[in-house]
Amino acid sequence: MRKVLAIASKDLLRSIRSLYFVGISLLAPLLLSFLFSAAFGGGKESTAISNMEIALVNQDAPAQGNPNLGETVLEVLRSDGLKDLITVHAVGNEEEALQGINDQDYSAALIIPPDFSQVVTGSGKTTQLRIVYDPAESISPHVLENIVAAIADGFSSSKMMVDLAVEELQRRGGQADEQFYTQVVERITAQSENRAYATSSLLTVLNPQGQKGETENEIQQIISTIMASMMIFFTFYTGAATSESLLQEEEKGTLARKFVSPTPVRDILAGKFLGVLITLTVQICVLLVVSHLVFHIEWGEPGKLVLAVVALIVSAAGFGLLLMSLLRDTRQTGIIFGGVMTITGMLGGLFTGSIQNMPGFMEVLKKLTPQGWAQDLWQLLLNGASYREMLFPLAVLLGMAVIFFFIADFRFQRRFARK
Amino acid sequence: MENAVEVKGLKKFYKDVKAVNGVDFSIQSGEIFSLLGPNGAGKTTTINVLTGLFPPNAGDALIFGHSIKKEPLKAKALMGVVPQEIALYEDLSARENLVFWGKLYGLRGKQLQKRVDEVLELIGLRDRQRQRISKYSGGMKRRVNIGIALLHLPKLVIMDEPTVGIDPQSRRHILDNVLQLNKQGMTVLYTTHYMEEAQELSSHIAIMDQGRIVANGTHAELVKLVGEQDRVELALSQDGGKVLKEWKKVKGVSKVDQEGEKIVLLVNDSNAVLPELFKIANQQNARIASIAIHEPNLETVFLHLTGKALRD
Repeated sequence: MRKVLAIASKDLLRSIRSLYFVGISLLAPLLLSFLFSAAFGGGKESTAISNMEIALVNQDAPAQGNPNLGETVLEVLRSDGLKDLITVHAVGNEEEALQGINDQDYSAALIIPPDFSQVVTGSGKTTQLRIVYDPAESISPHVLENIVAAIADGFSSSKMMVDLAVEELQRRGGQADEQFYTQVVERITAQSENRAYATSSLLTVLNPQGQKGETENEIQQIISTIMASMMIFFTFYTGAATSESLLQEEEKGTLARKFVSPTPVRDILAGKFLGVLITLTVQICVLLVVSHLVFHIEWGEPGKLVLAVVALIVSAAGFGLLLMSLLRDTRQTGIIFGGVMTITGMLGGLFTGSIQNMPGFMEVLKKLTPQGWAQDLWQLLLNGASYREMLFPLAVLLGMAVIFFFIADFRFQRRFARK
Repeated sequence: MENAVEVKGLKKFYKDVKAVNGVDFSIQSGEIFSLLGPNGAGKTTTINVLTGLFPPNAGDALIFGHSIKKEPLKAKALMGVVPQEIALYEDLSARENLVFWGKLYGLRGKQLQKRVDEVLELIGLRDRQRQRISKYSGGMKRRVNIGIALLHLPKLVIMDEPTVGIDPQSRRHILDNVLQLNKQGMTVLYTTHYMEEAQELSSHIAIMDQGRIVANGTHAELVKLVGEQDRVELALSQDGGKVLKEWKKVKGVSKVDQEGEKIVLLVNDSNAVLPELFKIANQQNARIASIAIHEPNLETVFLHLTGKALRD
């Protein structure tokens, strides 16, 4: 067993040291996932917006007994719905806000004029909210502008409603004094505050499952699927590449040197096989951890994750060893990497995983490849499927792996014994 | 004395090619035995069968009494094999290579580290042990290639043309190592197509050609096969018709031939004959323009036995 471990650990050391392993096995899947992630709008951009620092200068001075609508604006901007997007700092005056923008403490400043409440609650008058922003900022001012526009629209609508109500009252012979006007505005404001901001009761967005659409979650789900597909593709690729070391060692003479040492052939092959398994384990663990940290992918329950990882590792290692056992020398490996791995990866749906309703024959072809079963298994894992639901693809993958190992071992044993 | 190696009727065929076609020889414990022959003679195939890499089609080899067919692991444990091609991991350092191969020979722990240190010292690479093999020169790689075979202090070291393609300094280092190992009691089986190496190192030499051993013995025994005569090559400054006639009459000269510009004489003792040859040339007013003396060697033996040169 010591000799088996010695061979396996030597292979792992050589794999980790190779640029190929770092580049193809670790960086490529992460890079591709990152590119897809960027294409779907995930990642960095949303992080930048969530860090917006805004200064608010509330100069609003309503008449005594009237509501302070400037304070209402501040409360809305500090509401739960916006707290992840902007952080509002109430500052004393406009100069202080401008200085903060110059010092890059704030991305923008919102200035509420002294007559704001008076104009909104009064009839026929106008005023303006002002946004001052750092010219170097390209996104934050527009975000703030949209939020404030939504708030201002709310106030304008309220004012319009009150104006119309007063007109109608007067047309019917009623009297609407300043006190009546103020009371109506107060009630509308109170009702607005009671509702969750920016949530319209008349409109809701639903996903195909009938649940409330959460764009962020959908993107996260797509990124998770892509990352899983890339991980499966490159794990199978690495499985073949690591197994190639058997052919390389045969050509370089180090395999023959092992055969003339007092080490049985079965131990040498076991060591080589174990080396492939350990290398793939390291690769998957790194990818799982990094993708969790970078893309915030939740890979599911640990128990189910372990099962999916084991199935992926053994099937990828078995497939790689099987392919290499069919080859005569390393000159033929180009066909494997350029052709077989890519074609089986495509048939296995690794590049079309997020596309729904694929043609029926594609689904059939997918089931012929270990990559297709691996993708099904990992998709179930990501969807939070039960152990029972995962059992079938898991069993198929493990069964395939056993067959692959058996054939590869038989072919290699025969190959090395007949010389 | 105990036989370290005993080869009996060994045959190895590749389809129609009889790479080794009935080889018998034995090596006594503690000696350096050379298999000498040109490329393609079957030396490496013999070694491959002997080390258990390929099974023989017929015959067997015993390593200190253990059959390579019946007890391969026991036989292999007693051998250290230096393959003809450098078989190292280029992306590992010399020390990492030695540690790995030491583990395959059953060494571990402090014993392994101690032997690795000793071997690094022996092959003169202690200072560069942490450097990757890919950074080494051909000679340095050859030295590590040999070092691996010595890690477990084998009773028999088998070296398959270990000096092919290396600089004279590394070659000298390797030959000195072989002699040093032998002094420590190791039996050495050495294959080469360099006659000088076989002559310098070996107590016994087997000459191989076309899968068979054509001669086997000590250097002196082999030389006797061609009659121990010196070959003297001369060139005269003018036509030497009369001189040749007179030289044939000299005692100790058995043969005189004109080969183009050269005159070739086979003589029993060149030191005794040369003064008489010069005297006759003077008497006939002929001047000897050049002279070369070849004492009988393995090259001559090989030529005599096979009709071709060792490096053909």
